[in-house]
Amino acid sequence: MKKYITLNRNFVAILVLIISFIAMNVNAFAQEDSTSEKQSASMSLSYKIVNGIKTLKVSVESRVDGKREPVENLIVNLYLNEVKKYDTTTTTGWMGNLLTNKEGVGEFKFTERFNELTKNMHEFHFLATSNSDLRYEDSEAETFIYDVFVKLDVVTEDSISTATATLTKFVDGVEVPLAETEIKLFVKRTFGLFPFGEEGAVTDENGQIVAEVPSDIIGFSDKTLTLIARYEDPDYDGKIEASQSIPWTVMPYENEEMARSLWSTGHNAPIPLVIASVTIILFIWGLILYLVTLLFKIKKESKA
Amino acid sequence: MKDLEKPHNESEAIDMLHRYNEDVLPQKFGKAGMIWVSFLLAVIVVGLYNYVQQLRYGLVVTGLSDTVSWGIYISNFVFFVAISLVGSLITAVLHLLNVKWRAPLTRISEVIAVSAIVFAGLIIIVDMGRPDRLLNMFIYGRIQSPIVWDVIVVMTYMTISVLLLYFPLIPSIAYCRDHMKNIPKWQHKMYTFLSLNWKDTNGQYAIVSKAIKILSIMIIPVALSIHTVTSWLFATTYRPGWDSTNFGAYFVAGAFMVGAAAVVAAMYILQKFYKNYDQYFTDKHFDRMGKLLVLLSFVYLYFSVNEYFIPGYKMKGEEAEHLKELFVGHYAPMFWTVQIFGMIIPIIVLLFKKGRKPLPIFIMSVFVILGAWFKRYLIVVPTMLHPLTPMDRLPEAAKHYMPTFAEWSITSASLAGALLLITLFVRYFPIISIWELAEERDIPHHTIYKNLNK
Repeated sequence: MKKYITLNRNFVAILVLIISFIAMNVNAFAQEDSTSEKQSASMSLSYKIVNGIKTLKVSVESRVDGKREPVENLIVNLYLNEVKKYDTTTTTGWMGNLLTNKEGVGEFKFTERFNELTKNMHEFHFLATSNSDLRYEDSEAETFIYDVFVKLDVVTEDSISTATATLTKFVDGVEVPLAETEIKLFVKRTFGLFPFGEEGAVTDENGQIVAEVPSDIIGFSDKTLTLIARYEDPDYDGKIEASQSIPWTVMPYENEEMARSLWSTGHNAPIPLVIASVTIILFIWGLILYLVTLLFKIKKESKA
Repeated sequence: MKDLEKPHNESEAIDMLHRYNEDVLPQKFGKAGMIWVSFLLAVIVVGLYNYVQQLRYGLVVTGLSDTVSWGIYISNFVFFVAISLVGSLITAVLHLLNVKWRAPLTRISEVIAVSAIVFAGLIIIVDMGRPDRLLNMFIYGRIQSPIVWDVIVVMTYMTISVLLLYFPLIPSIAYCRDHMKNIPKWQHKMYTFLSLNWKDTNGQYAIVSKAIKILSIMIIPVALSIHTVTSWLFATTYRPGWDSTNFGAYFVAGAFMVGAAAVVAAMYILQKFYKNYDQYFTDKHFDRMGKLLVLLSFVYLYFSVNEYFIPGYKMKGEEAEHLKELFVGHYAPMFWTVQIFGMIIPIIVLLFKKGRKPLPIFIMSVFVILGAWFKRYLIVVPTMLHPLTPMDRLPEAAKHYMPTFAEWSITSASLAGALLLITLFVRYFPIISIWELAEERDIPHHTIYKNLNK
């Protein structure tokens, strides 16, 4: 009996050893397998203003056989934190998450509510992260953006109007001028914008650009002229504008003798031309209308 | 049927009417017809695909630029407008002149006219970078602008041409409605709807005759206007090559010439592919159309001489540069090919009786049609490459014009579309107006009205 127990103990000990060894190895293999399944992924975060809507765009891709492949269906968390840190345990500043599409892209469009909540903020630090995905290693990307402000002042002295555009931005909560930056000045026209001022002019150290408004430009019929200062952000594709309407006295030149000419506006067409063309058109189209009524007459005639 | 075959009594007349009607009933496509339609559809599909690309990416898919903003699209537009004038020539002018051999040609000329003017309207929209803004032209258009005149006159001419095609067609549609058996339901419904309950009553014929008379008169000034106004799109500018007082008459003369050639080509093809049609488009029709074509070619030659000889004699400024480009420069091969093959050779060949036999006149007509298309190209493009503003600072690409594949395919699709419209018309409607043919053969009205649809 004792012998039996001894043998049994030895057998059990060996068995435990073998099982432990196998289990350890299996576990090791399993770990190795799960590690090899997880691929590295690279993430990029960009900010754009598209049609006036602020948008954060996350792009995620991985390398497969040396080729870049978009990462689809990846959950990406977005954070905004004004103190430029985020707490991963409390998720302070968490904005929400998004799922990447077939192109490996996910977009977060700033809603009106989001804009309202952040209206007093002028510097933004956005962070995008993906954690604990079964297929890909954790990855993150960040971007900093700041609000830029354009102001436009127009002063008129001795019939000469001067437009001053000022460009500022916030740095660590303080509004500072943005120097050496191009601002474009325009006069609003019916179908477009007419540029004025020096082409390619950049702001001075005060973030300002000054230009004289062309004195011979024709104003709108309500005797105003609308000026626009535009800052175009090449990184974000955004346009930031300030506009101002000023009283304006320069109106279209009206030559009483030549008011109605071939080169004037449609409603000032020469009277003989209007009469001749309207008469011809009415006559011909009147006849056409009459001919169309004849078609109905043909149908009616069959019943007669 | 011999030329101007006339019946001796009423029973002969009735026999003739029945025979004519049966002869011209629409026929199903044969193998060649199916291949032809498939080919046209394929060209249209490729063109439509490229037009979608043009809508998506803009005119950047074409070879057009700020310098040459009118390329082959506008050349094609002018060509279509020119072809469309044939309706007024054959249907109206020859009708008012009481020409006795025109009846078999009237409907095919009107079909050509309608197809051409429809596609003239469409190709002008194709040339627009933003066709969605077309409505703005009606809202904000200036009556002083020749472009507005052109839009008005194209729409008017299109409407009149459709009416001129439709009125004489009603009795024929009624015949199809009553005599074509074993046709799909939709086809019968179409005939029923379009025949306006036609019953061959004297009153109905009176209305149709009255409408045709009014249309024949009113289409002539409108037709002259359409091509004159089209020429004014060019002639109201100061540009070399376009700054001409001769342009209206020059365009109209060219249009009549190419229109007549188009009818001859259509006659020949119909005669070859449809049985019995050779009885209606006889050698005498070809001979007379040949004489008409040679006359119109001489008129066009006269205006062409005026157009080039006088400025060529003076050789002033920009005009001289433009003419040198045409006569001995970059465009000289095309210019002289067009003049020789599109005008001189057809005139010489058609002066001879043998040249007015179906095959030679068909070949000459094809020359005239091709020559007319390239002539419009020569009117539009070389002048655009001679703007009044200096070109020195323009990028190299803006100094040349080479139509892209997309442009060619869209242009080809418009031509294929016009041909498809004609083909489908021939497939579903009688291409010869029997009651007009009978009138031409001096069959009394009461015999026609009583027996046409029996």
